[in-house]
Amino acid sequence: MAVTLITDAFDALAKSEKEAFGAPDHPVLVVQHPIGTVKVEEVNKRADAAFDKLVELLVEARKD
Amino acid sequence: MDSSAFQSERIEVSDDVWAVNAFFEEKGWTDGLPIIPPTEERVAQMLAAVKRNPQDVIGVVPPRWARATVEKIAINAVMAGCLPQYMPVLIAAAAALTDPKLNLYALQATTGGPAILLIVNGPIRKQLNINGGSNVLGEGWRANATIGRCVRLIQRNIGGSYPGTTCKATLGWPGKYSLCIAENEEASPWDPLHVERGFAADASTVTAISADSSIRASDLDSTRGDGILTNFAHRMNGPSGPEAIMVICPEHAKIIAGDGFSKQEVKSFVWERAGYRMRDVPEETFNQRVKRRPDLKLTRDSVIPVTDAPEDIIVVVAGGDGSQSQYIHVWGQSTPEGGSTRSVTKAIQV
Repeated sequence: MAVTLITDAFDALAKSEKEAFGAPDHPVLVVQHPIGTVKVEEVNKRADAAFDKLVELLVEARKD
Repeated sequence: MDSSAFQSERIEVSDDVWAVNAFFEEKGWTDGLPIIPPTEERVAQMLAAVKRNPQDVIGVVPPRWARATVEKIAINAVMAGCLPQYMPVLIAAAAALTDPKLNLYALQATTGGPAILLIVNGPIRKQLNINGGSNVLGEGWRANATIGRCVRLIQRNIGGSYPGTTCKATLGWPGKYSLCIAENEEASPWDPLHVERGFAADASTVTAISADSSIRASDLDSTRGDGILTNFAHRMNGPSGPEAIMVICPEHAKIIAGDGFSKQEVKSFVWERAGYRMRDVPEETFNQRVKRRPDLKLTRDSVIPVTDAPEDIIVVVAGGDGSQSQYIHVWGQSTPEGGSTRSVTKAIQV
């Protein structure tokens, strides 16, 4: 069970990878780009916002 | 070579070079420059230059993770404008490109946008007229231009690396079109790169390295080796990499070696002087470096060396007349695990 975490700038690459590895349903959690150059408070806010979705994806993956 | 054995798809296009190029461009199969149409006849000529089964797999190219067969390499070689006799170099280059040590997936996906620098050593340089002399990093030699270009087309057409989607280079740089040099072994006072890496002097090799754009290390003042190397080291200050490349011009190399420096001593001398001075960086940068490299126990007085060890500096003698060397930063991070990419050298089977 795994979820891949990316920023939205890498969405097309993630789709390409899922196709290449024959795993079209592999769960990917997308957060807003960028994260490398934004203030830590904003990063924390985005992480908090993404957390519920992360749990949801992990639980869904486990059901499968 | 019987082209009926080819497994690639046949495509009917109008027999007109403009129409063919418009078609290839529309399909996304070019680097932006016109290509030579890869007809069955031309691909067969390319394959006839090597005793290989066209379906032999040389490596798997990310991010599509598609197989680089000899046939696919030959198609891209035709498109790039290669001559058939370049095929052994291209096969070795494809093997280096797809060696896991190079970590091509990261090189192609990163926003950093490095090129693949190829360094050719051994007798094949002369046989194929691969330039290692004047303007070595510039234009003017078909072998350099088209071998480097073919590698880029392999990355794109086999590997599926498309700028903006699967290649996330923020800026890229012109070396991404093509970057292939020969070492000027005849002008070097030291063992060439391939001998340093354990190959026989009469073997031919190609080395693939992740390369950022270069910084000119001009020095017309120094008449002493330690002076040239001190000035060179200053050009290398800043963020470190898993490796670093010193392209030393023959005039500089002659002075440096004349003052008694072995190649290993060149590396050590520069390594001790080049680095990323933590006292000069903003607080955020310092904090990030501390997090990335806890093993270095950094303080404000620390200097992160240009590479983790002196032997990670690659010294190549190349170029023509003049006192103009260049430093090429290697993309990626030096990490406690050994770095995010490593150069790879492969023998060219002639």
